[in-house]
Amino acid sequence: MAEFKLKLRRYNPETGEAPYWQEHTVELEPHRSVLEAILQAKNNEDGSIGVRCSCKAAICGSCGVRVNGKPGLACHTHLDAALASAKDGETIVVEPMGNMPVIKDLIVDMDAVHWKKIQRVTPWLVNREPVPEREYIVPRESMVDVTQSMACIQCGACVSDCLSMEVDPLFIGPAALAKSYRFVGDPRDDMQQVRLKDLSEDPHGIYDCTHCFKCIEACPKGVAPMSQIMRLRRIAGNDHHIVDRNNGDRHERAFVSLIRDHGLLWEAELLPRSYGGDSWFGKFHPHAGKELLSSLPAITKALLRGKVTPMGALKPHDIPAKDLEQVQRIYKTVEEREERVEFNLYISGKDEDLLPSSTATEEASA
Amino acid sequence: MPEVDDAKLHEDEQRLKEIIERPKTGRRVSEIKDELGTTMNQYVAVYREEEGLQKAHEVVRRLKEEAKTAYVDDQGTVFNQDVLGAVELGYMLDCSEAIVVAAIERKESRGAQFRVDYPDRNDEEWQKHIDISRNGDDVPHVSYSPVTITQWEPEERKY
Amino acid sequence: MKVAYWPGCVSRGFTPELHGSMEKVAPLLDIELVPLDRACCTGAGVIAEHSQELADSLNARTFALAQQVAGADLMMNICSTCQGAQGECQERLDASAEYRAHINENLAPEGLEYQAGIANKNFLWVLVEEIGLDNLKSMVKRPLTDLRVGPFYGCYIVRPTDRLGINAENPRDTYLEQVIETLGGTTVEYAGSQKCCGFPVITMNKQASLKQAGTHLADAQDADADCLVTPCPLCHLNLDLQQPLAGPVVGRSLQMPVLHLPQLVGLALGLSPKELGLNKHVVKPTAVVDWSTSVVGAVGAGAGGW
Repeated sequence: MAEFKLKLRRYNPETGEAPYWQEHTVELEPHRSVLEAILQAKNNEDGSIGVRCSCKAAICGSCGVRVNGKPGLACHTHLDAALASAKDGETIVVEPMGNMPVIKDLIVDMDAVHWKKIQRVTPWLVNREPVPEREYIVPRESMVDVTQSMACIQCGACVSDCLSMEVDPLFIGPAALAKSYRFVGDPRDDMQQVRLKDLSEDPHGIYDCTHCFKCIEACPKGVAPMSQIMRLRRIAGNDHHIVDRNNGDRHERAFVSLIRDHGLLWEAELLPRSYGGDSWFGKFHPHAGKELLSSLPAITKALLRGKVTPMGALKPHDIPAKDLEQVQRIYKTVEEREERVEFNLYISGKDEDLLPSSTATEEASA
Repeated sequence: MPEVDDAKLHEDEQRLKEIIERPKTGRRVSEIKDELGTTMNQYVAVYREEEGLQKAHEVVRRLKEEAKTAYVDDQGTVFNQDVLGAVELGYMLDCSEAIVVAAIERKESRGAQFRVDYPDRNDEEWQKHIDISRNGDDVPHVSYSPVTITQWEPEERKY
Repeated sequence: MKVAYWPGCVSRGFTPELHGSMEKVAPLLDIELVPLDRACCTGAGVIAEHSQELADSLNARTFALAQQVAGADLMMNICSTCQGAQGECQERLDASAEYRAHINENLAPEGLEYQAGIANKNFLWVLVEEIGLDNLKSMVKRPLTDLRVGPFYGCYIVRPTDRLGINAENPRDTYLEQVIETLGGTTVEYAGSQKCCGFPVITMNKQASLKQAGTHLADAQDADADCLVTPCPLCHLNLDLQQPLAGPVVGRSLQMPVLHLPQLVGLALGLSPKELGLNKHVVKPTAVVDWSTSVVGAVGAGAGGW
């Protein structure tokens, strides 16, 4: 048994008072969970502490909270680990999840945000016609491919920390987009193209993700929502050639071609091409012109400061010709493949995980 | 959704109000819940015997009394899990008593009940259901009903 | 020490002062830079989004080139985004001999091959883990006394923690603070230090992108920071180059200089702001920060020329 100091963020909407902090000292074994600690405080000291929970085994997804600022399941966070990440070295701080309105104490309104976004992506299978008389026979690989997104337990931890949603609350967000991959990747679904078109064209869709890895870090089940979003983009652009109005596909294409043609990024060309289209002429497209005009204050300042010079940044900088040839040969090899080669650690695991346990232990002790 | 008449709603409202307004003179709901859990775990898990079951029954009866005055901290109307806990405690106690009474009644070992004092299975006397009912009374009533045997004949477990 | 040096693209394009300051600082730290001139862009996550195999092949090529640098202790980059993008590819390449062999086939025609387990570190990690903070402290010529610095990590160098090897032994998500303090400065705490600068969505959702940059800058300003320091040139673009646009989006007047990490180190090691290219920023640190009071013994501070 050990003593742990717990600091809870409390909020009662009926008092009209602002949220406040409340401290409790609990006594538990260090391997017990933060949830047990909250429940001990609730049971022994203040029954009015609001916290959702059910299974205590990281499978129901009810007890999503933020522990020392990081989102996760209270039942899946050991007290010793929580103490180790305490900012002041001694107080475990528990707060409600972010990006969602707080109903009371640690309970947030999942309906208002998380579930609404899940509903947004048509979270069910739309049958491919004709429906076979008996069951669908699905290739094993394609089901393995969607298992990662199926591992989601809807706890909302990724939504809590999504940095895009923080500035754009309309962003469909990590959980819902991972859910949408679950159906885009399912060969029985008939709506792959429609789903992807919808999610690409939505200004708050797949191209609104800022690639910050917060959701990957937050997820207690290894779903890696951001990776699923990247796969949605890959299929939308490469397989369905969807050119969206958000410049998402154009930006990706411009970037990839610029590296192919120069080996290094040519920023001065990337921006206009992202708006106007992937060619040297892109910058003369009206969209690119409009964009350049709105960026004028930044560009003028950059020129005045000598940061950007016509001879420096405004001309491409290439790698040596022989190396560029090598890069282009690699491009050719990969782009000419009929089937996409993807290596997913979630499915394949690492070689070292497959070592016999005795070897692994020896290595660990070595 | 089934229709619920206003009288019933009013009754439930009064019941919750009564819980919320209880003076803090009795025990905490969580305390009773904890004692109930510990008792059931100790005497009414897989290995059971008369003496322990009788003890458990006594405790459950006492807790039922105490639950009538058990108080809650939360007086609010938003997400009041405290009052929900108090309501659930009542059901838990009912279920616990039903389990204990039936366990005392069944004087044999079968399935997940291992009576240390009756280690053998006894189909002759006990191949029947024990039904526990309350019908508004405080004390549970015991009755029996026959087992309907379908495709699989019940037989003794030999592993 | 000798390192296979990957400067990245932006440090030679839109933020040339980053590569420039690194070249000035390296000899003072006794780091020999062997530039990987033949390597191409890491893809910054965008090529991986387009094709994982392409990104893995291009980066495997860079690793293979780095492994050919004789006597190099490790590979070093000066861009968080490069670190993250390369780290992601390396994780896959190192995980499976079979997959590595497949990618190496793509390199085979030129006789290149990547051997698993390259050590690839951002300059920030090199400072703390290779050079050491005590050692660094002993090299400081002009402590950054009274300079209040807000660390801005960005995303790629702090997440995901397991891939980046961030743990109790190597708390790499605290290195910026440690370096700032070692150089004699004061760390400023503010909300945005490990959030996204917004750069990746600048062409897709400009409002959201600028709102991110603007919010962090305003938070740092409210926390009385004199400047921010970042190990990522892409963050620098959104925080500095876009600052004139970010201010209006968050309704604030922003004047927050943003320094590249080698610039901050260079200042403490006695280099002049001009040598480090501080005058090239959109928000000119030389005009905003009073170096004569912020930095004890500031060389040439306030004098004409910068």
